[in-house]
Amino acid sequence: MLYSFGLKIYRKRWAVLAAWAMLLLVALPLATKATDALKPGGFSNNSLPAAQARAVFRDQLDLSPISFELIFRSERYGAYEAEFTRDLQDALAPIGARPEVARITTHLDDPARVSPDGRTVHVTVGLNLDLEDAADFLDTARSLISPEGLELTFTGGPSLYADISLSSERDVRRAELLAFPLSTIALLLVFGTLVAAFLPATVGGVGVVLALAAVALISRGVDMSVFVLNIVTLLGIGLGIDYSLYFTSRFREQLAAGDTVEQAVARSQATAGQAILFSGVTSLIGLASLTAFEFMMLRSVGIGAVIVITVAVLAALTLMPAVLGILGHRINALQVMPSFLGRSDRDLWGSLSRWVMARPLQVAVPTVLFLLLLAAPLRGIRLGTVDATILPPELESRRGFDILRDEFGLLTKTQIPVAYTFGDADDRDPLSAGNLDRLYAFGRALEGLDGVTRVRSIVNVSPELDAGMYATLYRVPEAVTDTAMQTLLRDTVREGAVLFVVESDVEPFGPEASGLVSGIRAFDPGPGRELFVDGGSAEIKDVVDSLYSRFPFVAAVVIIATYMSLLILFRSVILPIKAIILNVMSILASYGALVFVFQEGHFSGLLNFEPLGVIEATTPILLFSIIFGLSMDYEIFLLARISEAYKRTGDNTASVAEGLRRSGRIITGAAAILIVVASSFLVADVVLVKAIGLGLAIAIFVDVTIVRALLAPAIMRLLGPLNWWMPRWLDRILPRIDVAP
Amino acid sequence: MFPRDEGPHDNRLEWWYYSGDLRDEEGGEYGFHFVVFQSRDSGDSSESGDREPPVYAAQFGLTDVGSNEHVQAARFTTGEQPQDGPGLTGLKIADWSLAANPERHVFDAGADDVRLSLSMTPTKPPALHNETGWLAAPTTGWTYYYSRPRMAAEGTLVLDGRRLTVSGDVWMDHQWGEFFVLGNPAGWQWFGVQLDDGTDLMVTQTRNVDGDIDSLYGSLINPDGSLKPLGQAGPESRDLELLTTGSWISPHTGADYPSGWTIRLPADGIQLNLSPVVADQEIISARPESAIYWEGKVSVTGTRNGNPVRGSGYVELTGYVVPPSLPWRDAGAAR
Repeated sequence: MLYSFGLKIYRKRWAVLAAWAMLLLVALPLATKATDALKPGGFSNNSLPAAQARAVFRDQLDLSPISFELIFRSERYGAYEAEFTRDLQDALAPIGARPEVARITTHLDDPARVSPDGRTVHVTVGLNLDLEDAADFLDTARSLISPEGLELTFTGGPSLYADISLSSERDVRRAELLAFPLSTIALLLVFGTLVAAFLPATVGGVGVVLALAAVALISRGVDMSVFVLNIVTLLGIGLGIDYSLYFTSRFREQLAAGDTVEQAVARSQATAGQAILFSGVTSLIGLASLTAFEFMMLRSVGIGAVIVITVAVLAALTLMPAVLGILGHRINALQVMPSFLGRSDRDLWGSLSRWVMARPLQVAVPTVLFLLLLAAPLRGIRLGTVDATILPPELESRRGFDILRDEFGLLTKTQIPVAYTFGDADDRDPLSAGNLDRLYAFGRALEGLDGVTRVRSIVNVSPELDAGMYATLYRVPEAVTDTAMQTLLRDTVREGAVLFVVESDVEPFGPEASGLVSGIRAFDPGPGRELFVDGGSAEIKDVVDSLYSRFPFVAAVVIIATYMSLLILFRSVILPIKAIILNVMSILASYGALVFVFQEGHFSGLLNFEPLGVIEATTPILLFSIIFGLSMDYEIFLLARISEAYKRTGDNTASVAEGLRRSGRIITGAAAILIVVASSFLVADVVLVKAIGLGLAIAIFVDVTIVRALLAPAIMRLLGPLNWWMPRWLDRILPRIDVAP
Repeated sequence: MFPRDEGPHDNRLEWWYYSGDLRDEEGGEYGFHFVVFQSRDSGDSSESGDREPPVYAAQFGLTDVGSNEHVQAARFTTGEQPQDGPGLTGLKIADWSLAANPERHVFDAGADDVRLSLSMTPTKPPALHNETGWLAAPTTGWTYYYSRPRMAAEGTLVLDGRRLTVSGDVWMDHQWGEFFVLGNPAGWQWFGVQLDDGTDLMVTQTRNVDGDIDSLYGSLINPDGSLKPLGQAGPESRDLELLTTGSWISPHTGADYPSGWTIRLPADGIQLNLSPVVADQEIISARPESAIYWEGKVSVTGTRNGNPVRGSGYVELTGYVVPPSLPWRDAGAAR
């Protein structure tokens, strides 16, 4: 079927080229606007308990979930000197009058907002806006706040998110600038001719432009994450070039074998085209699985990936044959160096596999141990969430974050806000004697939890006070002269609700903090009353719980779908299992490397990032989907060659050697290009993008070297005839597809 | 005890309070008040009891008797201020400072166009109120409380660009403990009186959270430093009486302050009449609003065993400003 489709493309090659040119013309202006409607965040969703708690905090405690942090500093005056205070108040007056601003809290309300040297103050501007509107309000705020005599640094959620968007876009541009020339050089090494080298890069580029245009259109109706840009670029360049590489190399083989251009196009379509179609579908299975998660970031990356893979497959199956039809023998024009594909085959891969298969156990055991060693750091994985440390230190919001952390000791310890609400209880006055009794008991219980260093609330002011004394103190709450208590009474109490903030020295995103959240949620506040737990620790616990309760099912679906595809393709019950196990080992090795590098901080100097201390919770899932889809490509091409040889010879060992030899160079070339593209993301500013780039590069590298060269032949030798076991009844009912690049 | 107790303690609330009469070389008469508050959060009862660094608030007031003017200012700062030795070796509150040991106390503070630097030497031993220096605090908690009722002071006063050499007598109070100060309707009236015959008198009347008087007590400090405790817990005392003879409504806060008093010590044959030398000596820079107070120089006349006696004094009146309701309580009431 694809053969005749290839013929049709050849006959209408100019029309196909014109259609793509028109598409490109329409897509170009749209693609440049792809970033306009993309959103930062998307690492959470509103159905999580912590997100529901946030609504309670907003509606019942008037606490703004979104706020700016402004850091003011004077080299000349102390924070409490009149000049500092006057300049600060003058600077804040214009923004204080804006309806978007809910509340401004300065050091005059809370003395803890002054740095130890007394010259820096952090001010919180609570907003009546959601995150996106707050990010938009940033420019207005900047124009309104221009302090005389004080240095000002903007940070906080909206500011950080704006910088993450900005950095992501910059990272994409930088990665593209690196990936295109580097992969073109890699292609030049593979093909040796300028025309053959530039063609896949051009087709890959066209695919990226069209995919970005599609993202721009979709993002107008569906929330899409800014990280879609990175994924679309990475996959678009990588897969676009890979597919074009397969197609072009097959086309050149056909021409070399004496085919006419028309025949070469059609035969390439029937073989390489079918391989591309099939591997595109397996990649789609992996990446489409991301849409099963209820998190905008993963879902939209899944949508973006589906778009870019579809466009890459369409370009490879239509644009590529049309262009090759037009170029014909000129594909070999402008030779600048000997072709890697065309070099005399010394049967490196075949010899290696025969050497391995002569001593399968001696190779398999240490190789498996080595892979397990690579994966070993995974045992200490701490799933967490991102903070400003994913941004480079020179960005303003990151500088502000560092000041808050280093000078004010903020953001380093766990703070868990808890809303105690009186729901439909008869007595909703939080300061009534009865309710103070209940709040007091709850406050003591919180203090008694393991790992709690202190609790802040109106009933945790002093260990010297009992419930009766609090009742006396709060009989007339306005009469309290203590500034800190007055602030607590003003900011953390409303009719029907009281805020408790539980503090702990445990790492905010670690299992201990998660346990603390569970411990707090386990309290029974009594009939009619409810507890709501929010904060980073609660949110990441909910995110991880939600992601990883679904991940096994999603992974199972991906694995079963992949198994079925390979079963149909290779007519073997065992080989797909082997393929999946080896793939999982590559992924585990990549996970281990991620923990080793990004969580534990090894090579952080070389890679220019600050260790996160955690692995961002979505990263392993994202990598699973991408790697499972991509490295399965190579497995398919390898097994297709082995299976073809086995069908012909019935000799397991010889077939493995031949399969490796025949697919060796093209898989190496394709993988090298994808590794180059993935590695180009290591120059990203956003650490998350670096992590995905490195994880992908390592997984592909492990897959096409250790796994392909050592483990795959060793296991296939050990399995012997079992490799090809297929019950007849099953063979009869399964459809038949042949693939060969 | 001393000099250690001259310095800061690890308690929730502590203050060093100075007030007194000063005269310049040209006969100009002044009253001043300088106080440093140290407040520490008490932590909680969790395992570690994590605490924030202390917060310092300082207030200064100067009454120019000649011009009937009263100026005031405030300063704040946060953070531990480790002491180099026993006593209070140095506190810095923005551009103000205070140091104290049993031999000498010095401070430097001011407001716009006013700066007072004083060095003070105690001329009487410290007076430990309630004999032990420990007493139950109003409403909740407890406090240590001693006074240095007489300190000979000399220093410089910069006023409207003039640099004046001043000298006089100063009353010092030092109080610390685990207690909470409540504003209106709770509060107190405090009196520190220095009589010309060398006798000093401290009187305090407290009101509870319902606005009812719940204690009236004091100390009569003889010229030799010996101390006689006066009064007791409860609104009335047989050996100490306090009567209000006038009132003054603040144009700044609307608070209705007592303004004019008679203090009687029947067993000691003492009757004193106290009158503010300037009506408006309200410290409105205090925060929050419930903490605004009146702190002022008063003139003292009266009799002791039928003989006329004169003196000077300072009076502190807290809990008279009615603070605005907490916004959410207003909203709750409206609902």
